[in-house]
Amino acid sequence: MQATGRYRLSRYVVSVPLSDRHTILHSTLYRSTVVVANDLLSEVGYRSGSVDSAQLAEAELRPLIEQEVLVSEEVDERDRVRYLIASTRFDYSVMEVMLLTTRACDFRCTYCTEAGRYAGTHMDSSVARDAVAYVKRTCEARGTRHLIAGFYGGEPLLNSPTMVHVADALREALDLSRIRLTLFVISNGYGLTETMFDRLAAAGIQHFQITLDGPEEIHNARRRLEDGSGTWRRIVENVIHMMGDSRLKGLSIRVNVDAHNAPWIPQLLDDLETRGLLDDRKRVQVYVAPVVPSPEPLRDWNRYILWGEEKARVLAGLWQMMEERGIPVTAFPNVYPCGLTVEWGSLIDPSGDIYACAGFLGVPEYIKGHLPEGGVSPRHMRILLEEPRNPCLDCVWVPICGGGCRHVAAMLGHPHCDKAFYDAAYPAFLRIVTRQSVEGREDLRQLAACI
Amino acid sequence: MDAQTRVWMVQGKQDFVAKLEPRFCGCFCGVKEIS
Repeated sequence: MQATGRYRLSRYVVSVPLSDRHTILHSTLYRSTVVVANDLLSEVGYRSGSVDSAQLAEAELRPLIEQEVLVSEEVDERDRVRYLIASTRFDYSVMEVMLLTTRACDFRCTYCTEAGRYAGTHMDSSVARDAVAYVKRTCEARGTRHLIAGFYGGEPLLNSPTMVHVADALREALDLSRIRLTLFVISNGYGLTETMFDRLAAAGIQHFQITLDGPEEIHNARRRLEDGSGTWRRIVENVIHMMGDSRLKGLSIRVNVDAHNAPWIPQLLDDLETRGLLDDRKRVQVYVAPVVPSPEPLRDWNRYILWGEEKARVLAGLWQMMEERGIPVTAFPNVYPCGLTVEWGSLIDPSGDIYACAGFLGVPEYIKGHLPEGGVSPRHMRILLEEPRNPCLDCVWVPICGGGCRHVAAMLGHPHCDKAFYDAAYPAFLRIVTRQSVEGREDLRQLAACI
Repeated sequence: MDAQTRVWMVQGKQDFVAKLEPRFCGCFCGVKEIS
């Protein structure tokens, strides 16, 4: 069918220069990316906000319309954002649950969001059984096709028998169903010894996230044991062992970044490269994540938190360094969707309390339900049904930020708009991700040659 | 693609559900690229 009529650039499209002659057009609503020649943009006068389809050849117009970069002038795009948020809210086709096998932790990280709320409690077999039954029941009732179950804490490995027990029980519970199961662990990495990895891998837990915050001295100043000892060497030794095991399916090396460690991250990347830890691009990724405020930081650590343009400058610099080293830049630190904005993402703590966000663990008013029955508290229901405020609906970033992080808002005592960060960081991220995507793509050889 | 190409599709649009996988916020969890 011939595309006719008047179109405009979607209000949810970011326009980013890629080279002197090319521009990236990216829809934050549909996550589509199109690169166009600048002369085409000039011809259609797109900056005026309106594009006459008669000025474009069908072959050029169609992909822009199909990718929702251009939208018909008849479309009210606010409805599309409302639709995205509403349709996502209760969509259990992918369910994500984090099981906190313990609230205890052997680390005392300076910026921990659970600081002051640690508890020695481990999840016992009765709660573990209830958790598995609840997850199975929910998956079946809601038509889940993929269950992603993670282990978290505290430090989940401090109660590894329960991890293995839950992993076995989930596999057994879903065995005859068509529900795909992925198991992963978010760990500090210290206890991921060869023996531990062997035990977990045998239980089907083969995706891991560990954290390294810099070269040894910097990491150890931030992520130390309760007695003050360093943790870097043992974590790196564990990573080396894991990478030698073919059962490892995915390892995310998370780097929590703030003003304290940012200057040292390049040295960490060099160190990891020298040791060959980043060679396996398929299984290993590096994820740089901005540190978020803690309710009880050690040594007044919140002073190092990065905000706005400064946060963007630091992250963009790190992504650039990753690109120069050939390390894939795979993830932007988005805050939508999160457990507070969708129903299908939850955390279950050792007592059977169900939370929506790890930032509120141990805060009673943010408990959304309790095992065995589950449930949704009136407060959670109200948060869940909130729509982004009116000015946000028109913002190009709202499909990524969902109206802002509730944890940060709670820490600050007021809603926090991170637009200054997105304005500066997302274009930088897009440029790098686009360059990395174009590389090696046979169908984009011509483009790769001129950017 | 011929020499006259002026539009290149790098990443096709994702439907509302598929684009949420991997999901969950990147601040606290951040495990991505589960496949």
